[in-house]
Amino acid sequence: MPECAKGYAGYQLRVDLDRLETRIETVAEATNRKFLGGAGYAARLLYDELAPGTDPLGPKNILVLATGPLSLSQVPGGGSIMLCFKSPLTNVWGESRVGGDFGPDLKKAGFDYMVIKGRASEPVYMVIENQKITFHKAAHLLGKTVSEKTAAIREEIGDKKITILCIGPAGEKLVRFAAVMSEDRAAGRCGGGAVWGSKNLIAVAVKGSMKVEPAQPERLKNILHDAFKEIKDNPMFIGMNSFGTIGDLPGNDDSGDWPTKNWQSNSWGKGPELFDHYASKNFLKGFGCYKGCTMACARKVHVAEGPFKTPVHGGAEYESISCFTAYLLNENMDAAIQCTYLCNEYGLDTISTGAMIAFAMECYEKGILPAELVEGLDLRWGNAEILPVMVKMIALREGPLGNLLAEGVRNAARIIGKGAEEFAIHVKGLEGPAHDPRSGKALGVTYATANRGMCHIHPLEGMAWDRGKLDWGLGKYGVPDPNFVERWDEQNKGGVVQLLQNGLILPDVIGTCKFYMYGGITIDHWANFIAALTGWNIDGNELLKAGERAINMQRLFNVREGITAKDDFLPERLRAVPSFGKYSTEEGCGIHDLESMLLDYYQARGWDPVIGIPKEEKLKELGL
Amino acid sequence: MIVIVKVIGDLKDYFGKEPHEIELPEHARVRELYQRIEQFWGAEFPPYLWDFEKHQFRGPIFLVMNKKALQDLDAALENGSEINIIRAIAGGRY
Repeated sequence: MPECAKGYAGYQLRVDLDRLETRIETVAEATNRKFLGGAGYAARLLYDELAPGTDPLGPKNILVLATGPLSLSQVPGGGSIMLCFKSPLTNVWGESRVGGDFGPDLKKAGFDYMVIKGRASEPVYMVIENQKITFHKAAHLLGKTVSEKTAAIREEIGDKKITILCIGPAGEKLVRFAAVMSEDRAAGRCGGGAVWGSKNLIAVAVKGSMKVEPAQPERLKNILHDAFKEIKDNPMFIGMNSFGTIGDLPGNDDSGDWPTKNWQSNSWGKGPELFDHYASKNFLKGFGCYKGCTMACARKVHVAEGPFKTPVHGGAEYESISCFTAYLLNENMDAAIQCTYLCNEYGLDTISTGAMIAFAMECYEKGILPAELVEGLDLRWGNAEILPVMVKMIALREGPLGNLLAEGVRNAARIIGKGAEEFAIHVKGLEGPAHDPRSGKALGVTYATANRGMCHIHPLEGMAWDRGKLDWGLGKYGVPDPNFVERWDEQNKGGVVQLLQNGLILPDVIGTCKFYMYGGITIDHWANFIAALTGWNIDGNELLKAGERAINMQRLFNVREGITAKDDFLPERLRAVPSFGKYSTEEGCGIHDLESMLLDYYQARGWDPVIGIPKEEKLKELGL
Repeated sequence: MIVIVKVIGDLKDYFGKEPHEIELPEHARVRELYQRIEQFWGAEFPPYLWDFEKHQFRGPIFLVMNKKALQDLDAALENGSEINIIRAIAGGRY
């Protein structure tokens, strides 16, 4: 390990797929201190090395796999890695996080980062073991599902436990929202799986036995012990452990945070009975997605019998289930569970896949899908039988409709025309997840401004502040007490969102799971962990500055790709009072003046308020 | 005995922002607290929140006392304890 990088593995692995060559290089401690890692480090690297206008599915796109200093299994939430790239779905900044053991194991193998360029002449997978890298032919794996590929690779290399990231058939077919999978955990959003597919990179397996040396091992041991003890007793931690994210389903339905019928409403009233079915018929047990996770919010589920019989798998959680139920007016939980299983196996983003089916159903209802596309399919709202069929069609680009929907909602709407853009719900090309900004206006600003597009969690679940009344310990850094904030008020929300974003992007930068922040871990815990690991005198304010730097760096990447204030928008449908449901007569929940909230946001960010681009003085302040 | 009920998160819409002191019989258990909760706030509860047949919270709503989840209706309450009422608030990781 290099002396100058306590707390980091210290090395970056460069992979040239054109030549099947690798190179190991060090990363300067000053660079790590400035960008910390994860989505912050990757933003700098992609800005520096990726030419503007690069075809996301061409060989010149660059994949960055980036851990952070806390991607260690002994740290709360440390089973984490970020995948960053130019997105083939949005043509701008693309990032996706995945849990599991890949991040910690990459560090054990001696690397903080991987930078992958080029395109292999034939399908390959890589094996990394303690800085020894080998390439293996993978043509025989094409067409296999994620679990089949994972099992086959483990068999071939004679290690039944090695950690693997791989793509499924959807990535091979370049579906623009294909995922990269770590067994049943997904780097789901933005189409990273298609980028892997375009490079003929089918999988990466990693293991190692090296140890990251902390600068202050005794201090680290003690503060980790205290932190685990503290969160174990936190009510929110107990809630996540007991119910997982799916526990939100009834409450979100009630509070207008549950996009329904392709966002025509934000509530449905079916949440409680769907949750009851899930809890009594489908749920088997909670589990942690990486070695060392004590929160264990992930869920193992199955469908024991019936037309949607589905094997035991993990991942049927809040977002995925919502996108295969309320989005589609589907009342059949078993069908939704089967769809999540299929998405895992084909390697598809569950959110975008559900959104694409919702879009197709609305096109069908409005009679604007040409007959040659429909091919006799019954695409009526709520038709559970058709859902698994549609998932497979999209994953394999089967038939003209599957091929069209695999392009993502923005592209599909342009191709269909006839007014389809009106109900193609996306921001910057990324389909929306299962939270509705009409439940809390901070989410509206988040959706409009998030660098990867319409995203609920990168960097921030805004509704959890003004609707959910959480501040993640950021009150001392200037975030107003949400208990005194009206969720539908629009005043001052923009300025608060920029501060919340700076704080809530941090887990994506330092390499941890965001949900531990819901369980009581705060920015001050993170700062203490990093200080003990690295020996740096670092505090919450420096972390917030690094978060702000990451957001600005990603924005600069996007600006160079043509993004300006005009791209920070919300679809009209999300700004209007819902057309049915509990809130259909509630004028307060409509978004009345997004422009003023955005103006407030740009001013707080130090960005030009007209064009939404970081000002020179802000860049100087951040050392960019 | 007296317990202090403190509600976390958006359930405050139904309980109000401030903690509540609730008087209960000596040696009261969770079911007695639930009776009071239904009596004081039940009329405002939406169906997802409260089971009016079993007189208890529905689904993913739970109580925490002394840093432990109270899952059992017969669990004993302690005089002077703070009891949190909470529901999970989260989205998903991608």
